Amino acid sequence: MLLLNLDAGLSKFSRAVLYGFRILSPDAPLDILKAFWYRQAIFGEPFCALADAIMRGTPNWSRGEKELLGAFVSSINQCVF
Amino acid sequence: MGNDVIAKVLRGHLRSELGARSAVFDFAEKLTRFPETVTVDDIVVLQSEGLSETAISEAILVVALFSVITRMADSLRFETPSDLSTGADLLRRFGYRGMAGPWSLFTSDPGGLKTPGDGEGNPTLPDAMRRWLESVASLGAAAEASAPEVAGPVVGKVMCNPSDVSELDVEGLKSHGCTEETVFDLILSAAANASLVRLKAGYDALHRSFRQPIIVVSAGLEEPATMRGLPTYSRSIAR
Repeated sequence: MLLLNLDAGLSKFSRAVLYGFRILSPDAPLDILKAFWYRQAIFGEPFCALADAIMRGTPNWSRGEKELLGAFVSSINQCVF
Repeated sequence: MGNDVIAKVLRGHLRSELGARSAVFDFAEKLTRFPETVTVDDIVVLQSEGLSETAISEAILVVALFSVITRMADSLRFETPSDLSTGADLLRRFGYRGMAGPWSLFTSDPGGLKTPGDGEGNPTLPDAMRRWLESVASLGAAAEASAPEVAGPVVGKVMCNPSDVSELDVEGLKSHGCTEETVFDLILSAAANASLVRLKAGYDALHRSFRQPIIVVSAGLEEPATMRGLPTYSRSIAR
């Protein structure tokens, strides 16, 4: 149960898309999408663009290696994302 | 499966996969748990394992990125999906960009895990970092303007023990006139600040080690710009 009622701040369209997800893919981590979309201009867009740029594979680290490093950091932080 | 088990499994797996480069996991752990203790010596260890300046810089960025999202997830109590592979599928299908907004799911290039430019460095990074830092600065300014004194302890929790943020904290903020959106912004601002603390700790050590400004994101990362606009209470925690 989310601490804040993020649904209330989402557009009808956003809620419809989330509803579709819930039907098609009940295990999808929808709360994270809600958080991105709740503050799309200030969180979702800049953060996802940054994530995309940071997680890109490079000659140093492949995309997979970066994802594993991220998962490792999350596990230390007690979080599954 | 407990998170400590996940950490152990990942660490074991990565040691065998990455060989000497797995030293980066000890570094990532230190930067995540005790950013204030990271020094030039930690960078020297990584260098001695053959990691380049850019390689270390990229690892610092990954640590910083994930420390935002874990704080949002833990403090807002994101529901944990029972099957984690669905999240991975989502990421593979839409990529990070696709998750930015409801429309971007349909419009973004479904490059997924294999994005164009893979393996060629990060041409979009400086710009993306600048935009994110601008967002964080405006968030911090907004939160500071609207949040009452009670916000301080909440910010501290988000930064240090995000799963301790409780309904009582939210109620307390609301009773002082905060809207749900302000509470969200405050939590996001604190999470971003915790991430910047790690980014700064890592980059400070890296700068000192290589004695020159670092490539990718140095444009947006001079200290004043990083900390400007963040709430004063979180700024003092950051110190």
